[in-house]
Parts: sequence; structure tokens; C-alpha cells
Amino acid sequence: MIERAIIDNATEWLMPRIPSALASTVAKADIVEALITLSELPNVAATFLIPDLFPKIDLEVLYVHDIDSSIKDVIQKQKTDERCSVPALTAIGAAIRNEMVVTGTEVMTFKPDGLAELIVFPPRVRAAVLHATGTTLLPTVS
Amino acid sequence: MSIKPTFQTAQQFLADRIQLGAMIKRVGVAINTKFGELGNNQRVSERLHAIIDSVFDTVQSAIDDKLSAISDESEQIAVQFIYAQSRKIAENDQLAMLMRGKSSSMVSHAAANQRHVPVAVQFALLETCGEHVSTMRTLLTKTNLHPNVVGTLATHPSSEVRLDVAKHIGMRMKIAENLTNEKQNAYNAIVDAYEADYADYLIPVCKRADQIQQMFDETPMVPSKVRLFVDNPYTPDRVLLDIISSTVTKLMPGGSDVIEDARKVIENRIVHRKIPNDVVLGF
Repeated sequence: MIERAIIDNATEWLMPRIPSALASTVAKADIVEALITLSELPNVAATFLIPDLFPKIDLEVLYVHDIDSSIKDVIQKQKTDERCSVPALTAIGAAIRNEMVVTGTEVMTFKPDGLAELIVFPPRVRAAVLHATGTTLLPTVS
Repeated sequence: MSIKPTFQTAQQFLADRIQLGAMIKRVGVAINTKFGELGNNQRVSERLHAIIDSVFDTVQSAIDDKLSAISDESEQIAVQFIYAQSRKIAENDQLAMLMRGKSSSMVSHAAANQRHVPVAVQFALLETCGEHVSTMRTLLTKTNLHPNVVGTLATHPSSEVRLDVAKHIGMRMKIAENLTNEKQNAYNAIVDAYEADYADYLIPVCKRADQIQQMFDETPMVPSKVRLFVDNPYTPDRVLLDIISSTVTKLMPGGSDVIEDARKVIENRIVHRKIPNDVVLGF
């Protein structure tokens, strides 16, 4: 789990960047709850890509796990009971996209616990991100 | 505590990562959440929990599936080595993999090409795949290479491997460094196998007068090589005097400058030692 202080700071960072059209539909508490739920991601001892974490926002998320974390760490960490809403996830994605537009950038990197890494980017730069992180995506077994 | 996200262009991101050097090869999967199809808050959290709970096994299954599609065992083992660090394959398992595929240079190269090669695997590679030149050269690019492995490779039949030994040592050793016995033995081994091509790497980091003399005796008197001896503060006076009196060096472009600098070093030493300058100095 990520420290609560980091979640609060992330919320403060996101709120002013959420487009006004969405801001009226999402309360600050919704953003906090969504971030708390997402904060469980650093529990995972594997690298994976989520193409649709932010509904209706064309951004993908690559989670790059910390090599030194073990499956035991995953078992021991507790899950949250927080409720995460779809509008809150959309608002988070929209805020990130807004910041990319304002800064003329395409890749956001965030290390919530200083070890594992979250990388957010539009689909058109997926190949570059995968190459930069040495990641190969395999087809999943259905 | 404030940890902020970083925003970059894709080009900057790629350039920064490449600059960090060799990266750990990772394998992963893409997982769709389909959150957009959900309308109930509770199910979003449940769906995310389900992803978190299952993604490790999903990735492992995908890897197993890929490996099973490879019919050639050597290729299978090589692929396992490529992702060994990110999958945390234990040292003993890596040794077993290497033994199964030791005759294959593809396997040995993949084992040596890991960002961090376990020490036991380094020695196993040396012992069982020493004749694989490409593998040994790859091993010599590793920063965690054990000095005893380096020392053994100093006498490798391949001149390319021996040169890489000199490079490995020269790029990592500092002249002021107090060497462990193992590192000293590795350095001694490559000096004993000295060839002039090693000069750029070995001479700047040598502190022993006898070894500097030994290398000087086997180095052509071209200014670029001679300069290495002049710039090393541990070069014995005898070597500097030979440089000063070298007609070969003097006649080559840049030779006069090097000789002049050698003269200055000698004169400086005379002043500091307060010895009359008509006394022939030597060790």
C-alpha cells in the first residue's frame, strides 16, 4: 500500500487539472477513494499493461514491478475496501491527459513507493515505452 | 512526503532510459479492465482486486505457453535466461539450465547477457563454456564480474577476449585503489600476458615500477603510447630517461612534446628529491 500522505498529495495535484466538465461530477473524496484502490497496484510482482484503466480516456498504463518484491509480499499486503468509481477513474485520466497537453509531453512516470513504477502514455507511443523499459508483452492464454 | 509524477516526451523518456545502460528484460501481459462497462462502484474495486490477484499467474502462464511453443530446447533455455532476472529464477535453477544447454552458444550467451549474472553462473560459464568467445566477451562487459573470472580469462586463447580483459580492468580500476588480492592477481595475470594493444587500459592504472618497466619493454615508442608512461606518476626514472633519449619517438609527430614533458617530470623529481641532477637515477 502507498502511504496516505502520497495519496493526499496526488489528490491535490490532480484536482486542479481535472477538466471543468468532469470536475462537477466528481468529488475530491471520489478521487481519494480511487487512488486508494489504485494504490494496491504496487502489491503486484509482475509487469503488465492496462490499456483501459481510465474509461473514455485514450491513455494506457504500464506497471513495471519492482524486481526485488516477492510473491510473499503480495500475500501479506491487505486489500482495501474502498469504493472506486468509474467517473473518478475517468477524471484522473483526464487530468493526466490535460497535463500532457499543457506541457507538450506524452509520458508520465510515477514511482509511488520509490520502487515499482507506473507509466502512463497514449497508445501511439506504446512501442517506445515498451522498448525503453525492456518489456515484451506476451499473448495471454485464453 | 511529496512524490511528484514526471512528464516527458516519448523521445526524452527513451533517451533517458537508454542512457541508464543495459536494462532488465521483462515480460508482461496486457489486461483489459473493461471498467467502462461497469456501472456499480463496488464492482470496479472488485474487478481491480481480481486483476491484482491474478496477474502474476497470468504472466507465468503466458511465459509457459510461449516456452512450450519453442521446440528447440536450447532456444527455450536461452529465452528463460533472457527473462531470468525479472522472473527471479534462482541461482541453482540457472546453473541447472546452463548445464542442460552448455553446448549451445545461444544458451551461454543468454546466460552471460543478463544484467546481473550470479557469481556461481559466471564460474560455471567459464568452466563449461569457456571456448564460446562471444559469451566470454559478453561476460567481460559485466560490472559484477568476479576478479578470479577476469584473471582466468587473461590467458584465454582468443586475443579479443584478452583485450577485453584489459579493457574491463582498465575501465574499472583506479590508480589510487588498494586492490584486493583477487583483483591484484587478475591485474598481474593480464600484465603477464601483456600486448601493446593493452597499453591504453593498463598503464594509466599501474602503480608497480617493475610492471610499468615490463610493459614499457614491450610497447612501441610511438608518442601516443609513450605519453601513457609520461603521465603515470609511478613510472620509474629509468623509463622516463629511455623516453627522453629515444630517437624513434623524437622523429615522430608529437614525439618532441612527449619527450619534453618526460624531461619536465624528471627535472621536477630531481628538485623534490634534492639530488644533484648529474646523478643517474634508477630503481
